[in-house]
Amino acid sequence: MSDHDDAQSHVKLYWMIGAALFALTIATVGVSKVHLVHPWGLIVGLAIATLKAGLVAAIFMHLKWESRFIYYFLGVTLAAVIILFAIPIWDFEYLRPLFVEHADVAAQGHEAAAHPPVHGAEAPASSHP
Amino acid sequence: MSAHAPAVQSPYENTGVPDGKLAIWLFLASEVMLFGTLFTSYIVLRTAAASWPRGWDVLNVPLATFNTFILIASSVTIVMAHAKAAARDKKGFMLNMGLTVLMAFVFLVVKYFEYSSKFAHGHYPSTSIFYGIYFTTTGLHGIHILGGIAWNLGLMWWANRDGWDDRLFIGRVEYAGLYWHFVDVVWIFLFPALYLL
Repeated sequence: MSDHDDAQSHVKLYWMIGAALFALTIATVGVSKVHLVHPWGLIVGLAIATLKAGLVAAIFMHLKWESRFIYYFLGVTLAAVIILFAIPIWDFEYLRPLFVEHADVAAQGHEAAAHPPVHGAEAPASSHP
Repeated sequence: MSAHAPAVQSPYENTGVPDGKLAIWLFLASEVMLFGTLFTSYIVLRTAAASWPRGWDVLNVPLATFNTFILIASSVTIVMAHAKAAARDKKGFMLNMGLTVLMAFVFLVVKYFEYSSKFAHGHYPSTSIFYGIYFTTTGLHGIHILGGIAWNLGLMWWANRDGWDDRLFIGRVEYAGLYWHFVDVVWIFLFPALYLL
């Protein structure tokens, strides 16, 4: 197959992938509108996003036809990303029960900042029963 | 393997893949780390928050959905621009690349209206952790859109000068596409993370 034919045969595929991405976008908005039970909305939403990203990477970014060298390279990247996600989240999940008050104070921002004297007053009281 | 790059690039190929392609994937790997860090921060901050607003209640979902369609369409046109360049169809390349740049501008104009509406209602990055995350991630993504516009316009300018027949031209169009698809992928995750979930 010549390069010209190759490019032309891919054109049809590009349009199909584009249509699939449009349909999946409608699906993800629709799913988020029906309020699934707690973890399922998140799981379905992320699954659709991952599928869309996979289609873009495989077809539009030509990874389906890419050389093995790029695959190895992206494998290392993927491992680094997993570490990047797993360690802070695991650390946070492990430490959170120990410092749950601090985490909430940080997350509440201004609301929490408006009440620091209350926390300040409680702390010494509870440490000297 | 590199069926899309008929131009001979052997002097620029030291690893089995063109040096330019390796470089752009290296750059994209570092970009994955950059956005990955922000997503990790988002997960940790949201898990820690006592309450978190639903995207549907505070953000404009229809506008963001429209922008998602725009970015997907621009991904199609830029990959078509590459196919046209490989098929040596200059008119087709200029048309598809021009449409890509146009849609990138449309995306930014829509984003401008979204930001203006937030500012008009007194919502700034300092307003809450949610808006901090929202403006940081979408702002960084917007800067990437600007970078893509500059890159793609540069390729159109080069094509009209002596670039079209340069043996590195088709490869460079492919690398611009790789970058642009990456920007699309980031939005594919940002959209549900901020607006829908």
